[in-house]
Amino acid sequence: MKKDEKVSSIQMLFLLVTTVTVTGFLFVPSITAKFASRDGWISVAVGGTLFGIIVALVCTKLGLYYPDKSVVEYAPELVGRFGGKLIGLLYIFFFMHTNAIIVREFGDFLVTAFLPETPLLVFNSIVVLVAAYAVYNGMEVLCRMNQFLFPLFIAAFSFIVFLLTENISFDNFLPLMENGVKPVIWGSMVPGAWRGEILLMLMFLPFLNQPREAGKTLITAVFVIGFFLTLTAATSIAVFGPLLTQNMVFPVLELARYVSLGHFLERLEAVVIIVWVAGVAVKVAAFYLAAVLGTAQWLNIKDYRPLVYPVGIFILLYSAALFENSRELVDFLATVFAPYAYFFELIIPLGLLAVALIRKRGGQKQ
Amino acid sequence: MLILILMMVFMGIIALEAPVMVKNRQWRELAAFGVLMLGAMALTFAQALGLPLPNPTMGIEMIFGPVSDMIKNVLS
Amino acid sequence: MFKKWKKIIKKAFVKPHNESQAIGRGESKETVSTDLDKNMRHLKAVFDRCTDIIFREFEAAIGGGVKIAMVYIDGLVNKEMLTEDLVKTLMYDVASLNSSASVSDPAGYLSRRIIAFTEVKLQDNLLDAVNSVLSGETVLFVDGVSKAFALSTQDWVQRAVTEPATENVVRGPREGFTENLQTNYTLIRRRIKSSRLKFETMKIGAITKTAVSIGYLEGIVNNKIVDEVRNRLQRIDIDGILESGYIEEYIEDAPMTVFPTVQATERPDKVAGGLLEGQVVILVDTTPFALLVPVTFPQLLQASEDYYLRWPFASFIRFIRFVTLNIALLAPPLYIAITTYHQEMLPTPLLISIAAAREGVPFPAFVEAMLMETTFEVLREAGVRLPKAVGQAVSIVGALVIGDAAVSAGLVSPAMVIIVALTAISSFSLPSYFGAFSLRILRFPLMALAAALGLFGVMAGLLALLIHLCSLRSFGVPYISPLAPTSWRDLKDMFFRMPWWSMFTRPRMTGSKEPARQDYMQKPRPPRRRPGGGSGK
Repeated sequence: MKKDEKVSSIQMLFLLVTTVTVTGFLFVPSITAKFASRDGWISVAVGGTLFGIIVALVCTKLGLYYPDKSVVEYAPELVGRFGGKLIGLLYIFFFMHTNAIIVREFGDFLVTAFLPETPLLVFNSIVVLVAAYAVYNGMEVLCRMNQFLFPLFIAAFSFIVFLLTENISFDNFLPLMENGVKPVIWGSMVPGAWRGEILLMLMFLPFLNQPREAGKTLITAVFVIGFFLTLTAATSIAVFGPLLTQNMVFPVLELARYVSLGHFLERLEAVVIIVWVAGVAVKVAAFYLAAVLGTAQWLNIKDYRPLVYPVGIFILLYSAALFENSRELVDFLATVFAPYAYFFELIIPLGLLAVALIRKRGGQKQ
Repeated sequence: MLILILMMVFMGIIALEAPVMVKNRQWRELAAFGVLMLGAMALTFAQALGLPLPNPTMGIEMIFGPVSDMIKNVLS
Repeated sequence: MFKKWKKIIKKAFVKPHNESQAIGRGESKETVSTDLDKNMRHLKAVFDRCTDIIFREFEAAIGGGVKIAMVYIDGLVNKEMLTEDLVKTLMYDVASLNSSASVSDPAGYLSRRIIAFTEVKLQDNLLDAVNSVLSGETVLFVDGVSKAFALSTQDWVQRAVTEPATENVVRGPREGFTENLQTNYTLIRRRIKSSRLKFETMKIGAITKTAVSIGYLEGIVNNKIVDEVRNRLQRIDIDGILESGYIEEYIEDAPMTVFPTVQATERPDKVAGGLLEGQVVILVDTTPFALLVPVTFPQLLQASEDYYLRWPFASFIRFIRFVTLNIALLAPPLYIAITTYHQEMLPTPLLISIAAAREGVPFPAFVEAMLMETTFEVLREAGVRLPKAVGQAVSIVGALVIGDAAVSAGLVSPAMVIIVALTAISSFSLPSYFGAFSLRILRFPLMALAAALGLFGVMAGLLALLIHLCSLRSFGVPYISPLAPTSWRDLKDMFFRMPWWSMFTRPRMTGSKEPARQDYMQKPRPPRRRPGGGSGK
């Protein structure tokens, strides 16, 4: 593995924000609206963020015991060879599996929204190919690419939200917490799982040129992500109302369709799609890189690049084979995905952290 | 036809990757690449021939489905 | 296929052996002897059948007469100077000097007292003497002295300093580099009068022995970059260098990319500006194109004139340039994608007029675009290659064929003509001719992607392009810095050209050794009292 590759905290922050937000803002509004109805945005803003902060704290605390190693490398040191390797394998599986889901989300979205006649596999293979190219070039290139794109994401996002202001009706938010707190907490399960994707830090911490700043970076990332996702969820509820939102598959796309500027600029969803394609490529590449790095470290291989293509084939294959159709995918995301992700995002790191704390290991390395 | 195209793609990948590793004498990498590549090829051909793939989603649903239901029961 | 494999496997097992460099490629390393005739025999053998080499033997009026021989190439030396200052002096004037039969160091004495030239090199080696002759020096052999005297008498016909052909400016110096290395030194030195400006020269090319020079500003440049440039230049082993393009291909970081990672320029002011920002220049004899490294992609979009015009205009021009960059790369692919797949994105009236224009065109948009773009490239190439007089004819034919006949014949739509014309003009508005090349090439794959997958294809292509750009480095400097990795203070000289008094620092990537460019607080302010006393009436 190329340990000499270093990225700055701000690059890491951008990478994490892009990674989590880009799929989150597409799926989260409708899923939270299903659980928490018009209070969905509170779920996203409060519940998701709280969970995100817990994950951030755990990941940082754990990661800083071994600032130059990833979880796949230090797990065997903490819990013994067999258990550690098993945990490593589980994480590799998680990254690949999640990535396959992301690629599937991407393809489904494009087929639904953009080019209905094109087979799913075309989109999937192209995004995996682009991501493979990025992964092949390494972490630095991925971060730089994202740094270049990030301002564009922000610009496109703010542009659409700004143009929608006239359609917003705040009555849609009222009454607040009609059914008590329970649905809000329930609704925050999925956004929480999404926010928890910052667990990529477990793999990427060794890349930071200042590992000390990891905690700050992660928590900032959680808040920035929270801001964007809340804004999206709130806007879609404010514009469409909770009922419409929960029945839409991609409320953001509908939002973009809704935008009209002086009867000249219409059908802005193309902008959303284009920006979104770029973002997903970054996200897929990030998870892909985590999977490939993990595999290489698990097998004690120095150069991870030969593994890029085989792992890519697995991801691509399962992106098509995991689910029969979009319905199944959304169901999975809405129900099983949250506990599944929590297991990897919180439970395993928490367990490892407990072991590390007990063993002390002479405190955290400076 | 599909199989043929896939074969060509795989041959291309191998021709692209393997010589570099042989040249740099990265035998460990080569072994890992070979094993993963074989797995990937096997699964791809299975998929192309319409055979069922081992699908982890089932297992995940089996393990975490009850958890999800439990949360649901608590919170609604 | 299998043969290739065999080769590769063989290579992996056979240890690479260092091929000993054939020193001098067959030319001997003989020393200069005291015997004049022996030396001359050797030189005459070396320069056998070289009619342009002149051997002249005469006797100097020192003591009882010393036999002297001089060797030079006809046409490369200033004959008048030779006759007046050397031959005449030695034959007549030195007679008045005291006889010096007992000088302990005759060679030193000769060069100190007798040979009246500004630059005299003493050489022990006949090979050096031969090389001196070949590079235009006059070599003098004196009987009884075991040294050769190389006099710098170079003077050959050369092109005057003229306006550069590629990077023209409205405001700014009009001098361009010439084919003469010495002149090029002067052009830079006149701009940077500092002893910190260093030039290191080396000879590259086993046969051509072309002088290649590395120039940098000591203390500003990152020494690692200079070392890297020096190393890469020293690694070059080739028979001949005819243009800096040869060097470029040997030293660039990414040989397999369409983007230039070395900047070629004809402008001394651009080189001087680059040196002040910590770049390294590589000057090559016999070509007016100097190479600047490291270079970043944004720098290829900057013209030297940006720094001479007032900053609002310069910033505006930069903005225009980013627009044209995008048009040059994206206009045809977007046209193809939108007319083929995403008609709904266009406002209806525009869609109708485009559809009407495309009525009756027999080709799909992709074929139409390929046809026109290729035609345009052919015309461009013909226009560059043909003599000026004929070039005119080509452009007229081109204008008629592209602009009018093709449309009236119904082969292409007028919309396509507009797109192609726009693209062409845009790609020429980029300051770096060589940078614009890469965009022109990339347009074609993007067009194919657009035709296959619409906007999604274009986007995928652009992403791959972005990853590629991010992965490039030029001598260690990321190719799209200061955009990514972002350096906020360097963005002052990126999309905008901020006023000179606000650009306090040199670019972080190349000039971090001595970051301060100037003092703060130099923004001009009106004086408290107006000069010339009262006013405002």
